Amino acid sequence: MAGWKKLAKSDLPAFLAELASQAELVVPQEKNGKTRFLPLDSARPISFPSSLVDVSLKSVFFPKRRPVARFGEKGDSPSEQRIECAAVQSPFSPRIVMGAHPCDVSAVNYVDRVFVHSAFKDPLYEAERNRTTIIGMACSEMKPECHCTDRDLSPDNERGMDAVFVEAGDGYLFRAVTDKGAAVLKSGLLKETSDEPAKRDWPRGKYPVSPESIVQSPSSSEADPFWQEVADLCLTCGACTFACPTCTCFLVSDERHDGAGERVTAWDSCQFSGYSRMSGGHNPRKTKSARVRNRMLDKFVYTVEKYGATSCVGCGRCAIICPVGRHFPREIAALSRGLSPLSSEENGDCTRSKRGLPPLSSDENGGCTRSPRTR
Amino acid sequence: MKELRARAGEAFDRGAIDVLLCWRSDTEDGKVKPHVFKKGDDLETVVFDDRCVHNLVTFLPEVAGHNKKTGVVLKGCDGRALVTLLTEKRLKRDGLYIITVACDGVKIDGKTAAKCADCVTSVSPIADVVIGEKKALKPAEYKQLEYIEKMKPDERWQFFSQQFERCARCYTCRQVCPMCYCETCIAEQVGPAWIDASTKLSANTMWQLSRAYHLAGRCADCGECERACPERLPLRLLNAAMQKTVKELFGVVPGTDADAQPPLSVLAQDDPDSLLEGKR
Repeated sequence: MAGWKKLAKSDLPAFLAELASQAELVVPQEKNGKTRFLPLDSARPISFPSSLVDVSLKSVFFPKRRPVARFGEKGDSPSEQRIECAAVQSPFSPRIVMGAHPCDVSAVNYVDRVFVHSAFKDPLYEAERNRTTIIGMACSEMKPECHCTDRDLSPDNERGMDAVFVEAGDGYLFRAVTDKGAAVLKSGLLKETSDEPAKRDWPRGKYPVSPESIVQSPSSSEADPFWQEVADLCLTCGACTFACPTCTCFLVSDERHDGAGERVTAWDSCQFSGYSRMSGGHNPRKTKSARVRNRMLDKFVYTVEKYGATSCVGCGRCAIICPVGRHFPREIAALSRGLSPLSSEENGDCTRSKRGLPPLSSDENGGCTRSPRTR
Repeated sequence: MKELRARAGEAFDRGAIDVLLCWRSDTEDGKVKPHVFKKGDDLETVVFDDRCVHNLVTFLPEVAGHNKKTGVVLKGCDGRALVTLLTEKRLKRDGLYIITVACDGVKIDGKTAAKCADCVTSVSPIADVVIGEKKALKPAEYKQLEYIEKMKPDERWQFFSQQFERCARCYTCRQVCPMCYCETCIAEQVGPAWIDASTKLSANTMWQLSRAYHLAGRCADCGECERACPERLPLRLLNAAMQKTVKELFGVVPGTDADAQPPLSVLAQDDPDSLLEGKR
């Protein structure tokens, strides 16, 4: 779209102040030892990491705990008593998120499929999305666990962003991607420039995955013994699902105290035994191995069937957070190669072309696609 | 490490074990991780050093559940956890082959783990094979509580509220804990829902305090809850406070005596009645 504009590094605080005067500004800041997306607070150090903010962007649009309705008892006498309930109003004041990397923005695009472009629309989530302009940030490096290039993305991908910026020498280069983005880049601090970010060739092939080969792999069958092997060394805690920018499962709970309360949504995890428990007590995924298998297949098979896209963006947060060192990306890549995910095959050269596999197709919203499988 | 590999290999060779639950050095990312070695596996990646933070007892019921003879390698604190599980009859001693290696402390993020300053034993109190020197038990002093005990009650409440506020209720603390084996956790009960499912402060506090209470007289201070917590909550403090009280009341340091009964599961004639007498 538009050309690049340059912001001197010394002008960054003034630029942030300008943005903050237009809208609520959310930027990565360090709190309790981790970088996270938080409303700008002058007391906290701002950091625009060269790659991967520790905590994903997900909670900005879909918080861990979110009231959706409030209720209370009204009326004094028993005959007049009734319960009144009101939905929580959607927020509409403008908001700018600045500094989200391509994986996080692409993840939000996937979450849109679940909460906006699906049969069950979430009006609160949609309102959060509509009021937000995303100034994304291109990464200037790939960290050890980063593998977005194997997920149809790249560290400088602009998909889903309204505007993008990148660190370049003594300043930052900004460019609008959408009209919404152009509207927040009108500052006089942004100077015309002929500079352009250097094009880089990013490495690929760390953890490539093909949904088709996962489905075809004999190991993906529930009866295969290796799921038990994986489950033996998996805690089935919720750390990876909560860290994952595309895990969207939630539960609904009515939290009532002294006659008044809230209906809330709260993050849930398919790794919890209670997640799939039904009323009456039956639990179709009672065992750890069934839950582990569900999560691995979900990211590359089930979400394709349900929402038309894979739901791993290659951020690697699951591998970083796992308290027992499980490496989901490596396991799923091995499964895709038809190997047991626990095999310690040393040869890392497993690019698609080497294996004679066709390239994955992609669509405008990101992610690999294939036509829904008929059951 | 050489001796550990040799003893493990020997145990496989003479059929004492079918599998070995041990730490493995992952050749791809260089990290040390729990691993189940099978007969015939290369034992060169078996590792024991200050990176072996995980308490393998957490995985033991599952692994021993579908293997006849399970070998396991334990540090001192891990061994204490196993002792408690055995006294609670969660596991059977038969079928376990316990190798313990004297531990000089483990490191988290390059620094000696805080729990190691409060360590009472470097080797497991029960073992079939002891590698390294078995030293006498050190007294449990719960020094980590000193700065909390100095706080006034309202300061303490504020301190813990600030911590619990961050809890994401991912239940990593529960899942990594060898003592948390309830089939249906109190946090997952819905009829009635004892603890609200969402992350509001009151529910988070209720969750963390419930878990701490359930660890009274049981926690081995392996520190895994605190290490694994994605929000780095200081969970050892709560557990230590429980254990200190249990020690004062019953004279028990969990997991240090393989023949002892779980202090809160047995009724002894001389159990203190200080609570009923209104002294506490």
